[in-house]
Amino acid sequence: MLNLNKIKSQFPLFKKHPKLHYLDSAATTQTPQVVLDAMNNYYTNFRANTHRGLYNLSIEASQAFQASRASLASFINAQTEELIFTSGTTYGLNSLAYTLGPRLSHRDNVVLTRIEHHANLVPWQQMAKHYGFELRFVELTTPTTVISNHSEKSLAHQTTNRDSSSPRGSLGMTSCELDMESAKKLIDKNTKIVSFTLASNVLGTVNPAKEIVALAKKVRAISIIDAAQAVAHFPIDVQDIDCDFLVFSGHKMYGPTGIGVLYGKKIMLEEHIEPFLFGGEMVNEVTFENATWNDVPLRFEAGTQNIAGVIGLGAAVKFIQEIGWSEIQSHEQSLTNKLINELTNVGAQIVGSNTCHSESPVVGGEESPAHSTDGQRSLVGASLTRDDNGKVALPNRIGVVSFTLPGIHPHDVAEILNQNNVAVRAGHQCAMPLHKHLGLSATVRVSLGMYTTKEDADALIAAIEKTKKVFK
Amino acid sequence: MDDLYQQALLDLYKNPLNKKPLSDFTIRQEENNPLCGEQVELFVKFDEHDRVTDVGWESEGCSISQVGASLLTDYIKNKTREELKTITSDEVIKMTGLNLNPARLRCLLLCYTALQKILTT
Ligand SMILES: Cc1ncc(COP(=O)(O)O)c(C=O)c1O
Repeated sequence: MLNLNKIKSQFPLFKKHPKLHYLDSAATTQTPQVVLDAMNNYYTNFRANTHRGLYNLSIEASQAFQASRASLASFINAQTEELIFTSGTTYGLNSLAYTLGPRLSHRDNVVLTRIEHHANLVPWQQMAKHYGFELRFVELTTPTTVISNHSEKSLAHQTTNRDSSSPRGSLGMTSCELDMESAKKLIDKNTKIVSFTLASNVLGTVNPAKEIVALAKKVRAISIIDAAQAVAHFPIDVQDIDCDFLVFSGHKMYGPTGIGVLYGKKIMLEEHIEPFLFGGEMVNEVTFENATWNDVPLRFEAGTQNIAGVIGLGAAVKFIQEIGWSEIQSHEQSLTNKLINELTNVGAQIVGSNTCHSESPVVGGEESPAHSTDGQRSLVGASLTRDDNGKVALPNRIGVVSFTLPGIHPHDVAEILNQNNVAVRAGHQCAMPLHKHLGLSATVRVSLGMYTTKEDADALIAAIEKTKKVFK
Repeated sequence: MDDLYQQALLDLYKNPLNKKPLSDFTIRQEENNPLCGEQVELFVKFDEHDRVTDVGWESEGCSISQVGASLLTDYIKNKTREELKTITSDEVIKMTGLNLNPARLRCLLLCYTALQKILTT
């Protein structure tokens, strides 16, 4: 088991706020000391611009920058040249939409899902308006059980909010998985891009990425994965998933804000997409009339980068790897199950799956080597859950749990929790259409990080009991 | 903040004032709070002298937004359009006696924002 006190003590914010129960890690995670130290070290000891100076400081900064790139690449089992630094998930998705959108026409379609964050919806919507392509949404499975103990008030509340695309019948409360039959129908020969989230920031659902990518490949569509919510909670292997692009943010994986990653398959970066921003560093030769591009990935990193952010993110990867995935996953899984059970016991309606499990037992336990003996690269620092064929199996959900308390508005819940030092999110969590689709105007969301403890969960439940008393 | 959920306001939340849609109204205005996806619908009936003769609202928002809508709609009854224009957001905040953070101020003032839109059209 994780030594929780030891982990928590590595995050200075918790020293500053010893009473805080931080349950909003899906919005942003806290920063461990090692990440702060790495950035501080750059600023105080070797700050210089990268790739430019011939002097020692610049060489040191460039080396640290490149070392981070290599760590990030091996973290997702990519090649170093396939890894582009960005300012975050939103930037990554926008740059892909802006680059790929103009190639599409009214005959084409782009397939998303009903559970996308606004960051993987609005850029495509805007491009669709300009270039006339169709947007399609993979549906959620129709729920099998109807939750019946809603109060009159919340029932009325929910039915009036439902939109026409809502699944027929029940309240949709247990509908939390993508309907692969719907995906099969929607992804057709006119589909040019399939872009979807690996883990939902509302439901916690982990999507069957490999299957969806396989459907995209069948029709030669480009596949894009939003891994913002997934990246801190289970290992990602881009080769195994076989996606063309994958994006994530550093600030949701114990790294600094303002830094993120856009992974692109080498052939995609070299032959299929053009640079999105132009300027210094991304060029090879420039005349007054023309310019040629630098190699991949530098041609996608115009201008001075967030060097401290890159170095901090490298330190965050190392931090995660030193703890190890099996520790992180088993801790977060058992805590998620505890939370769901206890929330249900105090009358909360969980929006999403009610249990958290992996498809097969976790194997290993020790860090696996960066390179296995047969020369195949394997995941660094990852003790993975694998299926019968030795492939990486994804968990069914992560520790993001959204819920409602019948008759009490989520804002009021969050406010009273705040008065009890419990920090949660309330609202639509940047997924307005999904909330509407499920017939909800807002939810309360709790989300875990590796540092979340049983005491945090207990404080949440106690504060919910108080909330119920206030509004009884 | 401690008195945010004090009894008087909770009572007002549980028994809101003027919370009804009007079928006979001069202007209807919707307002959204993109932070939480909340919506308020404000109905105002003016007479021929531009005086408020009836007012109603609908929303499924949190207690703060409901309290804000109740207090504001009660306050504007029988006032003229010109008088309404002089109402400041600070006045609405003072009516609650609460010290709210910026996020909750938006909840409180949602109905007020809808009223401002009515007054400028
Ligand atoms: C699933 C998902 N996608 C995208 C984003 C956007 O990430 P960022 O704000 O770091 O760009 C988030 C963050 O809230 C998210 O949860």
